[in-house]
Amino acid sequence: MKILEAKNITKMFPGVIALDSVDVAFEPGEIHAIIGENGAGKSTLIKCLTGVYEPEEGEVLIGGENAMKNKALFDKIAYVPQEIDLFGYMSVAENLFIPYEKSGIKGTVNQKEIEERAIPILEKFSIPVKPNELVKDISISSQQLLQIARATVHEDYEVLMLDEPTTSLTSRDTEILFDIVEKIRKENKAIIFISHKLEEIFQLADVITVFRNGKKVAYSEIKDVDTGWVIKQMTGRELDQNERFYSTKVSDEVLLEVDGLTGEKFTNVSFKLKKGEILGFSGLVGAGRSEVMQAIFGYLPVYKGSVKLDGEDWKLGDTNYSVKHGFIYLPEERKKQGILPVLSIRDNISVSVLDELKSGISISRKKENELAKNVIETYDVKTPGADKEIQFLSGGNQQKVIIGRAMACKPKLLVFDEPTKGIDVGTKTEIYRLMKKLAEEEGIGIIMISSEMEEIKKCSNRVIAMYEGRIAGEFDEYTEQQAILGAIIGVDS
Amino acid sequence: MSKENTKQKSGNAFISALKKSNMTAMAAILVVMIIIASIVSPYFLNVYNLQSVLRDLAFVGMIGIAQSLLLLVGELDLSVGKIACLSGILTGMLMVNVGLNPWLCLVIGLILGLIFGFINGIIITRLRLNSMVATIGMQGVYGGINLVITKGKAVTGIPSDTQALGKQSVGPIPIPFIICIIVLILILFMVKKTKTGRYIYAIGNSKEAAKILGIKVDRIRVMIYSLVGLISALAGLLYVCRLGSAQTAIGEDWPMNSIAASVIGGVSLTGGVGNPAGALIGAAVITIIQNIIVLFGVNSYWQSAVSGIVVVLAISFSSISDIVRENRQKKIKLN
Amino acid sequence: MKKKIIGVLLSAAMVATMAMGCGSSGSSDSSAKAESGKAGKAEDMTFVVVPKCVHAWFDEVNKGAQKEADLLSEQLGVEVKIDYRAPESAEVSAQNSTLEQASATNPTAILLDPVDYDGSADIIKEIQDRNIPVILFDAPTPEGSGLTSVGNDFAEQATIAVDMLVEKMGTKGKVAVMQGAPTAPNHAERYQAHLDALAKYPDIEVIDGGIDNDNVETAQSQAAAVLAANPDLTGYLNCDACGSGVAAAIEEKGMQDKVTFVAMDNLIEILDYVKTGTITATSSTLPQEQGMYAVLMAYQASQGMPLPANVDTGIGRITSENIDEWIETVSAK
Repeated sequence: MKILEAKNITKMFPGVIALDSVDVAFEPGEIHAIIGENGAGKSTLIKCLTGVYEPEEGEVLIGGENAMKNKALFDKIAYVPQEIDLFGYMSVAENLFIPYEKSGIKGTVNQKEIEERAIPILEKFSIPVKPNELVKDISISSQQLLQIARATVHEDYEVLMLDEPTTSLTSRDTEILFDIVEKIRKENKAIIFISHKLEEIFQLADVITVFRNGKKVAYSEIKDVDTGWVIKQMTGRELDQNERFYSTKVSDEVLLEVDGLTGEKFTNVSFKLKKGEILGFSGLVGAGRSEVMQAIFGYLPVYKGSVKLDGEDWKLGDTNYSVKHGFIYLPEERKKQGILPVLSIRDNISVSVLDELKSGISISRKKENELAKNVIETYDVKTPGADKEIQFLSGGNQQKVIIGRAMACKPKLLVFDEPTKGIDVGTKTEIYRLMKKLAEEEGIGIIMISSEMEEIKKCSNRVIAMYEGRIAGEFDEYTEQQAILGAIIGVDS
Repeated sequence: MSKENTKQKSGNAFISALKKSNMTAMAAILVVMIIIASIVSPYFLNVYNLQSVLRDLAFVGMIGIAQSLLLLVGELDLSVGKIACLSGILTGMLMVNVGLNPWLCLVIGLILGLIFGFINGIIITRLRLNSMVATIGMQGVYGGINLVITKGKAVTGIPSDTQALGKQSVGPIPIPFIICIIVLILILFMVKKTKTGRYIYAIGNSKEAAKILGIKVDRIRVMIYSLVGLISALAGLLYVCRLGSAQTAIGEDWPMNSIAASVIGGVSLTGGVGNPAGALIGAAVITIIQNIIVLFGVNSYWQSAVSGIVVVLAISFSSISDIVRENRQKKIKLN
Repeated sequence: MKKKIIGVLLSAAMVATMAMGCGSSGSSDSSAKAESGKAGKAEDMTFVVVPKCVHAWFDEVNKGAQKEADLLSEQLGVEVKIDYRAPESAEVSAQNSTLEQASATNPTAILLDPVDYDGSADIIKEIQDRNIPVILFDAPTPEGSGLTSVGNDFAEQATIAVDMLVEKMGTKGKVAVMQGAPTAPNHAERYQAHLDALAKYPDIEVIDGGIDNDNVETAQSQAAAVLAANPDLTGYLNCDACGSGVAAAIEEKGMQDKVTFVAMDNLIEILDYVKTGTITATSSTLPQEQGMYAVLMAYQASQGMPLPANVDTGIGRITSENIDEWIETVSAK
C-alpha cells in the first residue's frame, strides 16, 4: 500500500528542467531517505509533494487519489522545513497548535487548555521547555524539535517529511530525534528523510532514493548499499573520502596575531595565524567562535585586547577598515548576512569592488558583466546567467558566489564561518579544494569555523577548540579527533 | 546583425521588462489613462491643462523621487512636507524680513533643508530609532517651529523675479517640472552608476550583509536623509515661488503622496527593490487621476472615493493579470 | 430667521448696556461685586479663551479679548486677565482636556469655540454646575443648550460675496463654486448659501468648482482643472481661506481679466491678490470683535445679568477701495 506517490512528474522552470519524469513512492511504516546534490531536484520534489508547485506533467497520488484535483489531501503531508519558521514572539504552546482548526481546537482558544495539552507532547519529544515560554527564548535545538512536534500535532497526517532536520541539533538531540522518528514509524506513518549527512541516513533509513540533475538515478534498500555507492550515485563519480585539504605551503610569516581579546561572549582569546595556513576553529554552537571573528572583523565590540595584521596594529570596530585592509568575513547566516537576496548575481559580486569597475565617474556595466562572468566560470557557479537573482540559487552556488566576491577584493585573511552548512557532499569537496588552493597559491591565511569535526580534521593545519568563550586547546593535524571532541565539551585533555 | 533583427530583440526586451517590473507596467497604465483622458475630455490635451498637470506633478514627483531613496533602504520619512514648509517659510522670511539677496536666500533655504534631513538621519541612526516613528516626531518639531515663528501667518512679498522659478515656463514646459526631471536624472545617475547608489540597494537588501561587506551603512543612511531634506526643501521653495507667498500649510499631503507614488511605481516598502523613476510615474498616475476627475466633472463629494478606486485598480492591474494567467494555465492542464 | 433678528437686536441692546456700564463705572463697581457673591472686594477676574486649535485667526480673537479685558481693568479698577489656551490640534478630545484643565483653575468664565459641541456637552455642563459661565464664540448656539454665542453669520458672508461678485461681473455668466472641507460646518454653510444666492440670477450658470479640503495646493490644482475645462468661465467663488491657491491658478492661466473671483477671509496672501486685482474682493469675519464681545458677555454672565442667545459681530467687506487699510491692519499685527 502506497500512501504517497509521484507518478512520472516533470516540473520545468524557464530554461531548466527541475524534475524530469520522476517516479517515487512512499509506504507507511517505512523511513525513506532522499539524497542528492544541491540543485538535483530535491526541493522541487518536496514542493510538488506538498502542493506548493504543480508539475507540468504527471500526477501526485495521496492514498491513491489524485491530489491535483483535491488539494485538501495535501493536509496529510506533514512537512518540517529545513529552516526554523516558528513564531518567535509566541509561546511554545501557541506555536504547537497553530493553525488551531487543524489541531482539533474548536471555537475560542483557551491559553490554559492549550498549555495543558502541550505538556504530553513536549514530554514525548523530550523538549525541556515550559509551554508558556516564548519560542525566541528557547534553544535552537528545542526549536528544531518543537517544529517537528508541531508537524505531528495535526491529527490526520500520514506522511512526515523531514528536511535536513539535524543541521541545528547537538548530537544528544539528534539521538532523541531518531528515537522519536522510530516511534512515529511504529505508528505506521510514512517518513521521508532528506539529509546530506550520510552516516545519519545509514543509521536511520530503510530505503534510499538518489537524485541527480532532476532525475531519479537510483533506488535501493539501505542494507544493500554503502557510503561509496551513495556518493557515486549522487555525484556520478567516485570521491576519495580520505582526501585531505590542509595547506601544504604554510609560510613562517605570521599574518594575524590576536592577543588577550575579550568581548561580550568571549574572554582572553589569543592565537596566531600564518600566511598560507588553514586554521580550524572548533566548538559547540554558542562557544563564541563566530563572536571572536566578528569582533576582530569590527562587527561586534571588543572590550579588551589587541590585534595585529601583517605586524601592524589593527583598527577594531570598523568593518569598512577591515574589508579595505584585506580581511573578509564570510558569515554563517548566509541568507541574512551574506547575500543581497533580491539583487542579481552580478550586483552581488560587483558591490565589493565598485571602485575598480569605474570608467570615468560612473560604474561600467560592461566591466561588471566581465567580472561576474569571470567569477561564475572560475568558481563553477551553476546558473543560467549573471542576471538571475541570487536568492534563487542553491546554497552551494550562493556560497561560491560569495567566495568569488571575497576573492575579487584580493584579501589577505579569509574567515569562513560554517562554510558548508546546508551544502551537499560534492559541493563541500569543491569548497574544501578551493580553500586549499587559496591558501597555497595566494598565500591567504584562512580561518575556518565549523561544527563538523570531520570537516575540521580534513581541512585544518591546526585546530583551536573553544569552550564557553575561552580557548580550550590547540591541536595540530595529527591530533586524534577524540582529544578535540573532549576540549569542545569542556573536558580537560 | 540586420536592423530588423535588433528591432525585434528590443521589442522582446520591452515585453519581458513589462512582465518583470511593476514600474513599466504602471507606465503602460499611465499611457492608457492619458489616452482615455484625451478622448473623453477635449480639454485634457489643452496646453494650459498639461502645463498645470506638469506643474503639480513636479512637486509630488520630486518628493516621491526623494522618498523612493529611503524606501530603497527600507525606511521612510514622514517629515518631508514639514521640512519643505519650514524651509520655505525661513527662506521667505530671509527674503522679506531680512532683505537678503533672494537668490542667496534660496541657496540658504536648500542648505536648511539639508540640515533638517541631516538631523533626522543622525537621530535615527545614532539612537537606532524606527524611521517612521522618529519622523512622525520630527514632523511635529518642524511643524511646531513653523507655528512658533509664523503664528500660522503666511510670508508675502516674495520678489517677483524669484517667483518666476515657480511660475514661468521654458517653451511650453514649466520650470518646476524641468527641475524635477533634472533631479530625477541626477538621482538615477547616483543610484545606477555610483558606489553610493549601489550601496543603497545593498543596504535595502540586508543591513547586516552590507555592514559585513564593509559598507558604511549609517553614513549612507544619514546621507540619504540629508538628500531627502534637500530635495524636500527644493520642492518647498519652488512652491513658495509658485504661490508668491510662503504659506504655513504647504506639504501636508506630501508624505503620504510620496510614499504612494513610489509604491505605485514599483518601489518596495521593505527595501532593496525599485527604481526612483517609478516614483515619478506613480506621481504622474496620482496627479493625472486628480486632474481628469475634475475635467470629467465628477461630483466633488465623490472625488476622493473615485480617485481612491482608480489608484487601487491601477495597482491591482499587474497582479490581476498574473492571477488570470495562472488560472488559465491551471485549466488547460486539468482538462 | 426670526431668531437671528432677535439676536441682532439683543446684541445692539448689549452694546448700549455696555456703553452705560462704562459711563457709570464708579457706582456699578461695588454693586457688581456684592452680587457676584463669589469673593470679597476688588476681585481680579480671569477669562479663559479656548479656541479650536493653534491658528492665526484665533490669535486675532485673543487680541480682541485682550483689548476688552484691558478696557474692563481700566473701568473696574481690578485686574482682568485673559488666559489663552489653544489645543494642539482641532480634536474634541484635546479640547475637552484643555477645558478640564482650564476649569480646574477656577476662572471667572470660559470662552469656547467648540470643535464638536455634542462631544463637549457633558464637560460644559459640569463647568456650568461649578458656577463658571461658558460663552461660545465662532459658532451658532446649539439647540437647547441655553448658551450664549458670539459669532457671525457665515451664510450672510457668502451672500455678501455673491453680491460683490454680481456687482463686478453682472448678472450673466458662468460661475464655479469651490467647496472647502465638507466636514467643516462653516464651509458647508457658505457653500449652500453661495448656491442659494446665485439661484436668484437665472442667467448665471453655476458649475462645480472642485473641492480643496482646506488645502491651498489642492485648491490650486482643482482650480487649474476647472479653468482648463471651462475656458468661458466668468466667475469663481470659494468657501474657505485657500483663495490664494485659486488665484494662483487663475494667474497661471492668465485669466485675471476674464474671471471675477470673490474669495473668503483676510489672510495676508489673499489680501495681496486683492491688491493686484486677481481677487476682485473678499470678506472677513471680524475675529477681534468676536473676542471683545465674548469677553463682554462673559463679564455680564459673571455678574448674573441676562444674556442674548446670539451676538452677531458682522462681516467686513474688503475691496480695492479699502484694501490698503486692511493690509495695514493685518500686517501690523
